[in-house]
Amino acid sequence: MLDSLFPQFIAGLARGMLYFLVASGLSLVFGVLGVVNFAHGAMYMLGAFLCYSLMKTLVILGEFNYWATLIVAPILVAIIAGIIERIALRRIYDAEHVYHLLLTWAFVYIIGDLSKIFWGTMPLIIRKPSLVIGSVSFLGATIPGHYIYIVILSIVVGLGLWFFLYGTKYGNLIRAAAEDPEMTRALGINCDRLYLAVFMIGCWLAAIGGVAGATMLAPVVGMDIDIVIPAFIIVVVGGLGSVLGALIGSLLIGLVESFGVLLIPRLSVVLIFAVMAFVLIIRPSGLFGEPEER
Amino acid sequence: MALKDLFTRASRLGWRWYIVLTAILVVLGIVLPDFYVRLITEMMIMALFAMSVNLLLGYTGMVTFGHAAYFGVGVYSCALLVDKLNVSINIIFPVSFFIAAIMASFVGLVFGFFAIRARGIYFALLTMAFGQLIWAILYQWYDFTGGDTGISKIYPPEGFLRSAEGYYFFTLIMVGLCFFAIYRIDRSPFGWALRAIRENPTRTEFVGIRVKRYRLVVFVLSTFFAGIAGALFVYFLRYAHPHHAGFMKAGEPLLACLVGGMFNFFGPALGAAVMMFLDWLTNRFTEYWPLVMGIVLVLIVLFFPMGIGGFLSERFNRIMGSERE
Repeated sequence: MLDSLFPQFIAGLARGMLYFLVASGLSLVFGVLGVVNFAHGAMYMLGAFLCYSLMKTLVILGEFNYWATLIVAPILVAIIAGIIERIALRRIYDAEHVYHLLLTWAFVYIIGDLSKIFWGTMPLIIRKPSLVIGSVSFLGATIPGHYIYIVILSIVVGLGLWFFLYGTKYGNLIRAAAEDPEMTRALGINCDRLYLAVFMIGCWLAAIGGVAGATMLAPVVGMDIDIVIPAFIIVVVGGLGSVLGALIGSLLIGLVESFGVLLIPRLSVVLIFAVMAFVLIIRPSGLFGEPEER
Repeated sequence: MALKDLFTRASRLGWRWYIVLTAILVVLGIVLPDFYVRLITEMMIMALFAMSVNLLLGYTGMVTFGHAAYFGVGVYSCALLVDKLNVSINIIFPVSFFIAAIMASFVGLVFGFFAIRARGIYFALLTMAFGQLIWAILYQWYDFTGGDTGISKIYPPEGFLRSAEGYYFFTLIMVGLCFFAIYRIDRSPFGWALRAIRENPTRTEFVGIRVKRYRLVVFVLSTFFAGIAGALFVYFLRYAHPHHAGFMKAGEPLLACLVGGMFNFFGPALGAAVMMFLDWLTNRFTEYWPLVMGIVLVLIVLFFPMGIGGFLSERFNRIMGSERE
């Protein structure tokens, strides 16, 4: 039993960090735009599918095609997200939550179905770069390379995000807009453009998750729902709008899932929902969230 | 014009439509071939499901994203009773409707007790978590629920009820009764208190209405009707599957409310019927129904946020020249 605890911990950590890439964007978008984006999982899925296609296109680059994809695919997804924000989302920022939910829900259908048309319904196999293949022995356990890769990538991206939000002028503006949009606007800041940027960054993060996750899970239609539900649970547990909350929530949910399979396999899926319900009953706005006014 | 005004006026139109609609449905049930009779049966069931959700969404302003769970409890209550008990279906059939409704509202009471403590978006996400909890249990408790194999051969009793027409008229009566009950709720002081809660919970509390208790009561009522819709559905489909309680299913009644208009009494029912009709129509030409639906939804959210019902009732009142505020 004890022998299996450590590998299970590492698996949970990798899973949690993958969740963090997706959930941090979701949380950021909610914090600034006040929109709960159901289509966030669809962006993750698009990232993974574009990774597959781009790797085929960029095959001349040899081993580097994956790394080039890691840069290009999220940017493409961010552009798509920008178009969605421009055309549809920005018209309903002032509307009630239910319209946000339903509009982004509509994009779940649209992107899901378009992906089915372009990439079919079978799981796609991605040729992993050599750096990610193989495994490392550590404390008597064998750790697959893609676990390490995902953890390191998430840490780098997470630190980058933290630096961006707290160390740059643009990040400060974003935090100001999240805190008090009216005042920010009064100071002459173009909030529309800021919202566009935040939505694109959020979806960009999801797409990085998709490209990174493609080394662990084969991209397939339906993976958007598979990730968006845990991502929701994470941001709700951590507190909507809090990136730190998203990190804590991601690790918590990742580890709970991982150990849940080991300890009570029959109820593993139930467990994360139980954790969420439990946290929300005790703290209705999540661990790091601020209570909603209405 | 405030939303509230739209809602009250539409409700006033309600009962006249009720008689006309029933008459049309009875005639359709006799005239149409089996295939269309089944289509309309499913429309009516989904209409009831959407109406149950609208008690929360339209009336009280509570966005629930896990109502498929209570629908699923209704589905599985009946399916398990038929599957596990070795009693004649003639007895189980009527009893299972009661049990489905009671089970759904009991689960609704337990979850609702916790869910109503959260507000706004947190309520939506908490109901979603509870909904997924039910889904996960149905999905993972393989020995009892059959997991994703589902439970098949859930037939209504032999004879008239098993025919397409028979079940159509049974559904019509059941859904009609439920609609009548919802209509009574709509007209009651309780119904007005719910609207007050939607408009301003704090002020409503000051008037002396116990907002939390009202929220809980309407939640349980809503799960009651969702349970009945689930029971009707399982005998219609003759098959129970965990995805009847799943995430995607939870979105359908919300979409129906949006399409039909959540501030009209019949809006959600109309929306459900329109969605099912579009589903059937697009399925004849293409398998990409979700794509079509997604585009329709985006257009509705952006250009007709009051839904078809809101659009029609505005037009209707203009044509009929009734009073305007």
